[in-house]
Amino acid sequence: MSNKNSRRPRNSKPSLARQVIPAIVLTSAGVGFVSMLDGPQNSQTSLDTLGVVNTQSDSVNQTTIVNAPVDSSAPVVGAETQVQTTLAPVPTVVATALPTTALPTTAPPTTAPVDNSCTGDEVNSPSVNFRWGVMQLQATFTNSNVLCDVTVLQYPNDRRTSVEINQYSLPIYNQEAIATHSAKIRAVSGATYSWQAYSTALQAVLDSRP
Amino acid sequence: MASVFNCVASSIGFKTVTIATSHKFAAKAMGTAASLHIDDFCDSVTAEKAWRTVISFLWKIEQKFSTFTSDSEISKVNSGSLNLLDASPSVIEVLDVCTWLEHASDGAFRARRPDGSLDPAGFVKGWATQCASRLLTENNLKNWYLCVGGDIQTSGRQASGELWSVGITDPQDQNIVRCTVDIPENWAIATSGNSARGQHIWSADSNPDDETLRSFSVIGPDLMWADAFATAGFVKGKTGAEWVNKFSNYLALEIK
Repeated sequence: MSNKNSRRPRNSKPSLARQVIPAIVLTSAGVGFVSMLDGPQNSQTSLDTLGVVNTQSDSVNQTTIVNAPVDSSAPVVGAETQVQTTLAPVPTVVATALPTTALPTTAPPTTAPVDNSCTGDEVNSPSVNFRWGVMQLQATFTNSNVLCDVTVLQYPNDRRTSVEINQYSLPIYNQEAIATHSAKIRAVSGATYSWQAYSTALQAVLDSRP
Repeated sequence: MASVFNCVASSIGFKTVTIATSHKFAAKAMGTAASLHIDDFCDSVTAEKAWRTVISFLWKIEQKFSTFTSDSEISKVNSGSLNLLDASPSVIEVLDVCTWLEHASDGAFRARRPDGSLDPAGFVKGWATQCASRLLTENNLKNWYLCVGGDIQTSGRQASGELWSVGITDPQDQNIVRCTVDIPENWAIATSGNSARGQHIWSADSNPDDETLRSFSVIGPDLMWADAFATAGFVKGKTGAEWVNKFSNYLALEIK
């Protein structure tokens, strides 16, 4: 009897574990739900702007605009068939969006016949001055504009200095090779920009990227 | 049931405190933008506290050194209302280093305008950023970078384990990246150029007919030296990279 009496007050007030475990479970569920809602909203567009910026700055606006309608509605071809079948007020929106931007910019590069021969443009990087000498790279592209070869044009041939390269391990990529590395860039260095210019600077894109 | 309800309520309240491996901040400072990216696994309160320490430090330095406000110590020295010897220790320290840099660069680096008035702005930004970044280390943060107007002090690595990857912009177009550099752990990068802000670099021996847009970056362990060497190296022109190479651990990278 005395044992039962001593348990009673414990039961009326739930133990610490009983209070804490549901709290943790519900909290994590809540946080998970909220983070799902907050999740990757514009990562795609900012990645695109970065990737495109290097090669054709003019097409930045176009591709970002293109991505939005395509993602929300349907593949480009599917949208066209929709126009024919439904003939409802909806297609007018699709029809205006389609001919202006979507088809001409995106279709050719993706569907173009893949030419893997390394015979396209050759681009020389700027000469980069290092403590150990000057370094210059040459990038070769396939006809479908994919980087296929990088040759070192100028390279310090002193053995001692090439050891230092390994020591410092400073990989340098030239302009076009960056398209493949752009997702990796975390910061931008350049001549100082004003606060007004910051809003359009690459650093602002990186700061807002999730 | 009441305790369940409390839990749900508190879980909604938790939204303001998040634990993540990426915390990003940006604000106006020193006429340009200051950005802080923290890749440590920590809660947002800790990250925000560190950021507030950094940005308020930068604002304090700006107040002291700005030539755009008349009540800064530099402006007071220039107007004659404050004797340089009565200035605060940090002002003396900065001007001391500037004098050394003027000699070391054979006059390429200048902290005085042609009319003789003080303008250490070319040095203060990098120096202040490096000092501010020490506050982050004091807050026990290990992996981050602090960028003020394109001058960057890094610490540790990215959350992915890779080195901090920094793109260097094209002098012709700030939104084109010309090359990227993986910054060795805890190193800094600073870039000087005649591209973005007009001719904010002046020098007695700079070449007046040299109008090509170019930029000059320096990579090294300390931002204050990287920034100063970039400024001087840029002014020196062709001999700039060679001059920077005299200082061990500092690498020059020129883009034309």
